[in-house]
Amino acid sequence: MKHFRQFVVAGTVDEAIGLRKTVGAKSLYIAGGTTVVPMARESVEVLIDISHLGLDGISDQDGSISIGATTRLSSLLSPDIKAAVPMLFEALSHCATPLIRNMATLGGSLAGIYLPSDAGVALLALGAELELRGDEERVVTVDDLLAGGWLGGYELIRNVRIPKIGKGQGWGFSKFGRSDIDIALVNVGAVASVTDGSRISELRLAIGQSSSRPVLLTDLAEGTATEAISHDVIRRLADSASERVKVKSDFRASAAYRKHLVSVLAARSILAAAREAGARFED
Amino acid sequence: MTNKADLRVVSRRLPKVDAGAIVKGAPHYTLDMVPAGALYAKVLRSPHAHARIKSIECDRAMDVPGVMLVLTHEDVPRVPFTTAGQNFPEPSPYDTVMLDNKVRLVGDRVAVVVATDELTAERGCKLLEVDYEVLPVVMDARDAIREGAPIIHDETDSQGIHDAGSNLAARVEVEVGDVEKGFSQADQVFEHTYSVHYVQHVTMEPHVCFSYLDSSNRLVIVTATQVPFHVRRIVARVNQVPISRIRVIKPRIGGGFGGKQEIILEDLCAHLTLRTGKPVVMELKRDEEFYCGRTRHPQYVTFKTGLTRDGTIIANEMRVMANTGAYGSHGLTVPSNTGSKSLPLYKSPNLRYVADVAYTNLPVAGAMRGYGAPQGYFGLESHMDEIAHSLGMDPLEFRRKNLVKQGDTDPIAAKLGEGKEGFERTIRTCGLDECIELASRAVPGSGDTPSGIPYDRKKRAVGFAVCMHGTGIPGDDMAGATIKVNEDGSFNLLIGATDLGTGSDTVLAQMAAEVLGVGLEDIIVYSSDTDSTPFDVGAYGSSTTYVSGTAVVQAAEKVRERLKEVALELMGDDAGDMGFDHGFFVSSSGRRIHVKEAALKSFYGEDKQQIAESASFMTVDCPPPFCACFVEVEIDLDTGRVRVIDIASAVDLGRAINPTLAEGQIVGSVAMGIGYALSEEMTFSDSGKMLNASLMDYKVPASVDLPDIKAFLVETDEPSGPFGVKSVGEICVDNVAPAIANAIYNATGVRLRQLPFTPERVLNALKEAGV
Amino acid sequence: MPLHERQVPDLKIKISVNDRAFDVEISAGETLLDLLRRLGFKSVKHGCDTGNCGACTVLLDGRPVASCLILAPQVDGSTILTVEGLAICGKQLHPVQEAFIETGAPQCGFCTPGMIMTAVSLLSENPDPTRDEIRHGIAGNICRCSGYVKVVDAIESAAKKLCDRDAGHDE
Repeated sequence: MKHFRQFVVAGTVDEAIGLRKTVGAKSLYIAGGTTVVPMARESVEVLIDISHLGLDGISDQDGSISIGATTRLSSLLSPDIKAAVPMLFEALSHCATPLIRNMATLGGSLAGIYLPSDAGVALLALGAELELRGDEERVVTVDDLLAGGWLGGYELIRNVRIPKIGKGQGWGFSKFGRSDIDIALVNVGAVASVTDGSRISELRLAIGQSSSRPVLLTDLAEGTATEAISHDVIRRLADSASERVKVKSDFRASAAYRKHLVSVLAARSILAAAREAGARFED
Repeated sequence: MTNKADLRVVSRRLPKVDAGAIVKGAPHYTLDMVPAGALYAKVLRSPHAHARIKSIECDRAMDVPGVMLVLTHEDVPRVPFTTAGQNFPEPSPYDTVMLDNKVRLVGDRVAVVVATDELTAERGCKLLEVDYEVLPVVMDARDAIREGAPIIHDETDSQGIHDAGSNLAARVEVEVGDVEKGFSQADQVFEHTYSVHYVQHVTMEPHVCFSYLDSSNRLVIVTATQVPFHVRRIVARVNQVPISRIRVIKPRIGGGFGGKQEIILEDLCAHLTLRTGKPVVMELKRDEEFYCGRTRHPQYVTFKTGLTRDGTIIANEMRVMANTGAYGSHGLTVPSNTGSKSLPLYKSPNLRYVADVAYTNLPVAGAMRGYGAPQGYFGLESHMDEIAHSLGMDPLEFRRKNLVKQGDTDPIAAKLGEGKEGFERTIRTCGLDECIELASRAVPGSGDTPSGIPYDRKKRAVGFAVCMHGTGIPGDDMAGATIKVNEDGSFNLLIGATDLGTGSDTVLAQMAAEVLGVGLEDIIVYSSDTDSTPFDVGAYGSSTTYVSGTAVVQAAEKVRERLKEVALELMGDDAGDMGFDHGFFVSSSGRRIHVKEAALKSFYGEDKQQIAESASFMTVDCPPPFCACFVEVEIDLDTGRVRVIDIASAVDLGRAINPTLAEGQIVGSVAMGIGYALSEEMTFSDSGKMLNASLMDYKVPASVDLPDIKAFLVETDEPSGPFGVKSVGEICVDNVAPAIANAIYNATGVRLRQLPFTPERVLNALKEAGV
Repeated sequence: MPLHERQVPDLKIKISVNDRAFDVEISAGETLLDLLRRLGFKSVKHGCDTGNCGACTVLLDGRPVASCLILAPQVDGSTILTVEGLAICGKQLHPVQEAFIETGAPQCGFCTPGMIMTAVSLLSENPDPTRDEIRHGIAGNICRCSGYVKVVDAIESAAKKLCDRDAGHDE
């Protein structure tokens, strides 16, 4: 039994936003509920259910996949998603547990991105865009939204549009937890472009870790763009990524260990992405 | 001893007697049975690890509609007791009261609010205004005994504390031979210190109980406990009511592992029912389990071993510094057991064991599967491996040279008992060689999987450890059993023994069925009800199959004798020398009368009677089971993550009454051992608050964290045990962590002496060693 | 919108539990776990109340979920299956239940109802799982007694039973 006093099922997006504006800070949107219910923040008294707004579903457009915000994570573990957005599939298959994936929604796991969201880091690396509704509609990339301080007061996520990985691009995703079922101490998503099978010409590296919000680094490859791919190049890329990530110590890991993990996981993700993109080099 | 081929029910893989109810989701656990209208009691718990309560303002809480009663230390009887459910007089200090004016750990009881429902009780707790005088905190056992440390038990009415002014809850010191002389004669002496951490049982069912007054105004307590009879006695004393007024019932319980060998709720719940006259329910939520449930004692364990040139041990000393947390529950006996379970494994003419047990402001330690032995064996089996490597000897050969063998006596057992002197012990059965053979063959090692990737390097290796344990507590453990005949030849088996999910109801029924020559389905088991079953100390000390089993066998034999008399009567003169063949009484002329026929005739023949017999058994023996654990680990050298990829545990358990259930005990113990070694760790802030008090951050192994754990049963037919049994419930948790430590050493050359081997700790050690 | 001062059962929902229709009054903060237990389905257990143990697993419209993470108002109109409703026609045990008994999977039994529900769903989606797939399927259901070996054995054996049963129907 939780202390929530009211539960309102919104019929339309406008109604949901209107309710949230009226009640203010005492209210919260709820979709899957897997974060809202166990946290049960004392200040929250009214829940506005946004899972009946028709915001679920997957559509495959040319060059991108569009996923409704209230689509459940388990629905995304499908052969279609595996074919179209394999990095998201990979990230979600190591995310939480089957029981939680059956309730949790994609929008919900982004709204709570302050946690080390596996989906969030994958989408950040992939350059996904979010369709938001607050007072007005806006479309922003996950990266821009992070830079701008995340969602506004009563904004809700309607839809997520994920560009498909292009020719000559590859992806890699690594996660590290204290055991196989864990929130990520560190997770890293990489999207790499490889030229001539031998050089990383572009690299998008999204790094999540449980002590602060995820970051996206897009300029890493500039320094090594002319060098032939080697483990040494990959390590240097990973080390410079690690240097740029702000980490803190907490009971789950020390800052130094987190930095180390970022470097190791970044290297592993870059390697996987480069190989996927057709890089040829000796081990 | 019985010929195994002759057994019909014992030694069979029969389903547990409660399996059908379990898979159907029967409402048979405590919380499923709470009477409608029961009041809900919630304890306000201390946010401070050490503080004096200056005042508690209750008015605002009392004003909440639905709040019925608020009690503080000023309102309840002050009777010092121990929460440890042990034989009377308990060897643990009486250092706890129902509600105190001082709190000694985060989560300690401050006050209790009784309300119509849970939310209202919680609301009431939030409205209590407590003025604390916060006191300095001590968290490490070594710091706690230093001069100037804050004194945790400065109350004057506690009893049995070894030295409260030094925060010493207990102290143990025993010596066999002359250890110093042994060291002076030794060619080489090795000394290493190991440290083990705070972990918890994490039973899936948290602690829960409810109490009510029955129509005769007697107090009935229904509780998830391992020790119903100790609950009855302790609750009676604390609440100052006669034992005769209390009935304790244990329904099915959702796991114990020692955590429920404690009176954590019942003293207060019973008090609230006595106070209000109403049914009251109390439970611990999962976070409360972590804050104020029980834990496995953290220890520093130092071994010092002297050897002759050829690798023979001639002196072995073990020194332990244990942390009992804020209260001394099992504070003397667990650390005693750390020595008495591990030191006897290797023969030595000179042995010494010293343990100091300190109070701190951290969670209370207590009984947990292994009862001190996992701590001792992490040290001993790491230490023996280290010595073997230093001597350049094969670790297995070195152990074989010094291991205790069949026919040896255990000199420690006589000196170190349950908080007092113990009993002589001779090792009558030892199947350790076969255990080693089976487990080592099952884990051949898969070899390294070399990768040229410099940031994705993995290493694999096999390691092992051996151990022995005990079976029951000699001179202490006593169990009763009653068997009553029914007209159709079914039998009521009434036992005080407590099935915590182990299957003891089933194995005890199997034994009764075997003796009586009937099927398992003919035995109706009823257990753990202080009004209608005989006394049993409860489920702890790996005793039930052996101790309660002996009582059951004796009661069944008495019933069989009585039925034989009935059969004799039926057969008349031609009975002669009566034999018994799987349920049939057989006369010398070959005439056969079945037990069921005799049963019916006992009620309706000429001499009508109710046949019912009781027996009780106290053990003075403690035959040790033996176990070998072999494990292959894979270490990710770049993250420090250790993964168990193959593991086998083989145990000489005397005899498996039900091999399926015995394997369940082995595999479950090994899984718990892997969690202990790799992922489970209670971590604390500088002010003593547990930081990972949830199942999200306290990492109990999930299905994907474990390989298919392999279990092997080695049967040696212990002559003192019913059907040859020793025990199997705890032993296999003892040697998992050192086996993993030894495997990590074999893979990397790095010796880890501090549990658990979390990725960060392992990586730091690898870096330090330059791996 | 007026706020209630205290929590009151002011909502009504319709649900089906084990093929029985319920029209119940609930309050906003009641979890599905609380509601099911209140309706008498006591197989659904409080293990952690944070979705980390799986002792409260039920099938919600066919999918296994942690009922402690779901509020009752979220399930209006849904169909719920608990282990009490699993036996065929209320009598004959489901093959997963039979397999759990035969392999000795349950020890204390506290996780068993939830584990069985997850297994039922797993086998309906993947009738012939590998041991590894089974381990991943039950990753959200913690068992402290068994070390999972006999649980995986039971689910493997249930898969065979279900397969044989379906083959039998085809004949």
